[in-house]
Amino acid sequence: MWCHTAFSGDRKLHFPLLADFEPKGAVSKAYGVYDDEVGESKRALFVIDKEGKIAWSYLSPTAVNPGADGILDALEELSKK
Amino acid sequence: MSTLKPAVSEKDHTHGGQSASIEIVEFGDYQCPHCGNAYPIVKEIEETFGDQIKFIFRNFPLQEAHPLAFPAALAAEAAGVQGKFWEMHDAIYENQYRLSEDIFTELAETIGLDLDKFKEDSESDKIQQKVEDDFESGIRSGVNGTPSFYVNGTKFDGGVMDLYEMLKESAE
Repeated sequence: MWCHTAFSGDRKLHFPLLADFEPKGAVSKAYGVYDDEVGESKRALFVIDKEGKIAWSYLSPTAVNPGADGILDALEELSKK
Repeated sequence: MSTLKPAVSEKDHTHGGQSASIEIVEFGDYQCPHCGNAYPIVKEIEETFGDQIKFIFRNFPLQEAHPLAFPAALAAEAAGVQGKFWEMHDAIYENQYRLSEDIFTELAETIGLDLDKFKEDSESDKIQQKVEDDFESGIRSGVNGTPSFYVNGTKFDGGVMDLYEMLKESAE
């Protein structure tokens, strides 16, 4: 996806982005955060533990960029276990 | 709901009424154009509400996007050692349109700092640590862009104009 490459370059991201394009939204749907009405993924965060289970998740209101505080709190909780 | 972590302490730079009932924390980046645009409005808020508001600035330099944001934050903190944090903070935003690596010494001279001490403090580990601690505080507090504002410890979902409106309404 050229737009992802451009976005990564502009924001200097150091991790790969998933297009989730074909079949469209398959991964987003698997996580239950696909918005059928507008045809795109909602903004959601997931922390997955080493067993591959979702340890924490957060669905952000539309158009609100979620900060990283919830992720860090969830990781701290995980490391206590 | 994201909250401010850690709470405001004596390590922070504060402005306005020290015992005000409204405490506003801004996480800002000196090279961020949105912060530059917010700067005069923040000033207006401070002028309008005076001692009713205690205003705090924490550094949130987005180093990848803004290479001069971190050096600028160091300059402001180094000025703070000589009791002129806010003078440098204001001078940087007022000259944001012409930021460069060399500008900080010029601004330090303009606001009347001891230049040798300023240079020494700008390069010190302590000052670097302060900026990094501020940045980490922002991450832990859920900063999702700059500027981000916290009112009495809770993240304010909106820009500086929304903040101004909210304050005006609550003052009525």
